[in-house]
Amino acid sequence: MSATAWDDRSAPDGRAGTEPVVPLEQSRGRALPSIDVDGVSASYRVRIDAKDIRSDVRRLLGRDDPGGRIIPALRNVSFHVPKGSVLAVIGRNGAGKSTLCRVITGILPPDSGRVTVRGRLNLLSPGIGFSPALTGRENISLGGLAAGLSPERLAEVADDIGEFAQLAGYLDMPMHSYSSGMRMRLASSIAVFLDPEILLIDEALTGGDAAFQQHIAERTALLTGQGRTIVLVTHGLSSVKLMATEALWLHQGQVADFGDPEQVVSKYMRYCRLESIGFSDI
Amino acid sequence: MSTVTQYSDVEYVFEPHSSTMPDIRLYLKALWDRRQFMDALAHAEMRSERSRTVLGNLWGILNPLFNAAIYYFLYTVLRPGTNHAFLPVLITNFFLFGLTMSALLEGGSSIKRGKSLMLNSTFPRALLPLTSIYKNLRAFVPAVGVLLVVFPLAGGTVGPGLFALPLMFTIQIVMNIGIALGVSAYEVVVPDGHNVVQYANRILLFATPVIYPVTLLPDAARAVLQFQPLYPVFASYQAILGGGMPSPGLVALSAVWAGVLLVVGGRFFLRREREFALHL
Repeated sequence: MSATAWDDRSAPDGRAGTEPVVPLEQSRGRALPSIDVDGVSASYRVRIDAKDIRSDVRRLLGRDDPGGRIIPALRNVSFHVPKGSVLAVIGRNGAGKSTLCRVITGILPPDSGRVTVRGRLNLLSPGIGFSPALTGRENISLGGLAAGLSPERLAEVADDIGEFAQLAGYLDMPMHSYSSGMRMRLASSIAVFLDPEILLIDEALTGGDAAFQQHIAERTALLTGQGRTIVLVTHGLSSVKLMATEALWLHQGQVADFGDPEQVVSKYMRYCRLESIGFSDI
Repeated sequence: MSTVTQYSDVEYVFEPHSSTMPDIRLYLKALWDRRQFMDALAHAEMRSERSRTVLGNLWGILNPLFNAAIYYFLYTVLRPGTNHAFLPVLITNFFLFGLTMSALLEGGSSIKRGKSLMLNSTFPRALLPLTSIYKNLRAFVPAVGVLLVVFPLAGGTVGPGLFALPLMFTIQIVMNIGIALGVSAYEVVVPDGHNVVQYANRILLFATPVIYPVTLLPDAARAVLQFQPLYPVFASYQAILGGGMPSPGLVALSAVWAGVLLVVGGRFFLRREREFALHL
């Protein structure tokens, strides 16, 4: 059965805070992981522009490739994330980390395999793509409503989000007056305030300066001890060792290693050192 | 933030895309649950449009009035002898046709415009074209006030057919929803789709009795245009705005076309929805 994130089996509306909740100990899914990724492959299409009008005609006549190239981003990836654990996903740029996040959230369908997510899932980066004409506060409301939160709950947390995003004085100003860093900070802050059971944080999307990155890292560290399942896509290897209970190293869309964070990070660092001197085989 | 001691009993399963239809009942419920988001998004888009121009949403009223003025000029100055009684119908037609034009152009590009939102959030994607329809309906409310003043000033009169107006308007909106759903999915999966849609919009303007009275059409043209979904709707509007009653045949044909467009457009959208992210 295929599904989308709003189309789950037990709580059709997928609405945060409205599903029937059961104590963790009594849950039918107690022994089941929060996230099961079984043999997942995923790809995306990249359009390549034609060089000139002659190429356009050749494409039209079917003599040339129609211009789309399929890029395999994930290849037969399998792993499980137990409830309450923190999984760090590491790897070079282009390894498939962000694609993995999009597949887990149901935004991108896999080509093969199956992903099962048990629990309320956060949005990858809610708030991104909203209206620059609206104030920061109104954008918080829009991001939260898209995630299914009630307007009342959003009114309660808006100030906290603004404060966390270090935008307290700007919250009632239109977003077009924000710098790109301020916009990204707000978007990232909404994500950590949605009170999800499963939180996906892609540091590539969090933006902000070093101080704010540290701020987010501290917040994430705080969340790790609260029973949430967290998937953290990061390049900060020290935070992996500090916070993660498991680590996944993705390399060219495949699982290079999975398991104890210390060991996975050591292997990854060894690979990076070897690669820097010209040896790139894992 | 509170500590999680219990997990919701929800389960999401994501498997490879197949062109199967989702459960319509669940889909409609998910849409209904996000109605506040739709309202807020429509509000945001209207505000965004206002912020980009000096006259803002007033353009929603000025555009059809200017269009009507241009075509009236063509009729009265360049082609003297035209029936002047058509002016109030012409003005009203432009307001009403504007809704379908927005469904086609704005609703049609809604998924592509919402790319960033689509790639970072999970919600039923039909919300985007539906928001476009809803936003234009909201913007249409002040236009109704303008029409109530301009229509009689331009010499328009209405008869008992006025009672059929809400029915025809509902049929047109259902048609618009089908158009917006189908075209928005089409524009995502077909890279050149938007270019084709722009031409389709111009062809529709001339193939629909918006800028000319139906009575000017020869019988053969009328017979052919029956196969154009907007023809029976606007032929009915003309009958109502001319003080008469629309023929039951035209009303029935409009309803059938609206149903067909909603089912075809809706099915196409729902079958392709899960692959949108691949194309964007």
